[in-house]
Amino acid sequence: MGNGILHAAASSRSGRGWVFLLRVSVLMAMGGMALLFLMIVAFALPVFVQGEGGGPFTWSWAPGQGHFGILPMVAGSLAMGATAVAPGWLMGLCLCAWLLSPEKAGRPGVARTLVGGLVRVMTAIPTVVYGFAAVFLLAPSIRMGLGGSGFSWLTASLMLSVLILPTVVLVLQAGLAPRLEAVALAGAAMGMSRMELLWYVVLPSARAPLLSSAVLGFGRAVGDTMLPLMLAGNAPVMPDSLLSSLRTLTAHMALVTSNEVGGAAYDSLFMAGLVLIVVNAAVSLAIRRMGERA
Amino acid sequence: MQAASSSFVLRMRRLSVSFSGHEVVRSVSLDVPRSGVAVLVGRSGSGKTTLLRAVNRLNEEVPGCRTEGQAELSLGGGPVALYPEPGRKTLPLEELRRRVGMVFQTPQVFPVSVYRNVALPVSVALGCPRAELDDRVRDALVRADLWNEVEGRLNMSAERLSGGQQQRLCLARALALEPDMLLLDEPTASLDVRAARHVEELLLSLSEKLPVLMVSHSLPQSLRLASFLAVMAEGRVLRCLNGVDGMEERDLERMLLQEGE
Repeated sequence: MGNGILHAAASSRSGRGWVFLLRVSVLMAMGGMALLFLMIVAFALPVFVQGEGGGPFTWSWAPGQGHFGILPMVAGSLAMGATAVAPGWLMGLCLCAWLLSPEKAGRPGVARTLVGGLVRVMTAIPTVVYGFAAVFLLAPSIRMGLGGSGFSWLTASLMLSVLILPTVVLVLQAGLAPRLEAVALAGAAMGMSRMELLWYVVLPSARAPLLSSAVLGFGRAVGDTMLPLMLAGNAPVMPDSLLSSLRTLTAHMALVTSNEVGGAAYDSLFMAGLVLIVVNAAVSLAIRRMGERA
Repeated sequence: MQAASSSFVLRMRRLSVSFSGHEVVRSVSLDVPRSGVAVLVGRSGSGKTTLLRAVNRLNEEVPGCRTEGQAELSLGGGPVALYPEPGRKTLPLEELRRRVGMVFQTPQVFPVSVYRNVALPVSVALGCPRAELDDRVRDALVRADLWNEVEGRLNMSAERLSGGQQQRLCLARALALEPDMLLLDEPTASLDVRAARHVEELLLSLSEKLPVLMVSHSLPQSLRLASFLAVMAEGRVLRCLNGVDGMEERDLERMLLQEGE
């Protein structure tokens, strides 16, 4: 179909210029992506092959002794992503359901308008602001309430779940609202409330938006650098509880790049970057498959 | 029904409906008899659908809607005011909509299975216990003359049924709530001739036990079904006919033409 449009456009003289421009922009975008991947793989491969001090896929990060294992950080990122998505997605779903079911149809009311606006504003808040606030508010309360240093897996994942909340809400709203509108009138004519319609009719048949909001939330949580860096404590070991310190891949890359500009530790970061891309791509593909089969 | 109940299921007095200041139904006074099929006929834009939706107060789902005047429903258990009036009893909105079933112009099936389409409203809006659900679903599908066609595929998505089947499923869904009155908004407009005839026959047989108020823009259909006919133009009911026996399409057309002037 795309070709058909191109041919139709190419038949006129001015159309040919447009087609050229389209092709160049597609090539540039694709080329940029390809180069990025090529570079990451090219730098990561030697690290993987030479395997000095056990290579990157080991559990020990001790650059002084020549150990450049990034597995604790891989596990840290996955764990952080999971514990951020679970509450964040659930909160987002509840918030979205509330936003979509005003008592008076078509009139959202003051509370819903305000909260809806707030969620939109939240997308624009830089994560460093959340981090900054949490360093002074959340971390001390966790230190005093639950013990530990306050800079922990739990602290960072709580803030991450807040961070991904607007993403989840907006994706869900975009997916669920049209489905709800499609059944709203017929449902109302049978005396069913909007909340009942959402719960019994819309959600069971809306696997795609439910999944994609979770995937996007997970992607944002795993990809965020500032919150784990500021709040998770950054010890490069596996955490043994929610209150212990943890280092994610993103925080790891930020920490190492700020100290090194070359050498084996620096090179291992390319492997970390590659793993990060692979993790997100794999989750996204797997869930998309699940969505298609449903 | 009870001897005490009025022979009119619905009485309207100077009922007006407007959306954001634009008046769609203008001061309509109408008495709809309890028995037979009552048909509202008129050109598109004459306010038929809005008048129909005033009966289950569905207009209120649209922002900016304003309804004035009086209307009274006699569904058994004495007449009640449809819209709040000082000193009179009204039905809660949910109860009103359960007791006055509605079928729309295009089939509005839910994107769930055939079974759940009928079972959901019964269990959610009516609170019917799980053990009775199967029987009620079956009964409703039998009454809508759909049971033989879907018996073996109750778990299939309702969206895979044909248009005519979907419309009868919507009818079954409305009947499953055991309404005291049925509203139909051009229920055959999106169906082919055979499916439409099927639904028409069904409506005639249902109307023996249930008051039916229906909107139609088809004159031949109105002549086939109506035992009471109200002709609408520009938001007003201009003429009511008790029975259309012996009338021809031409007579009705002339009537509509005159009213339009």
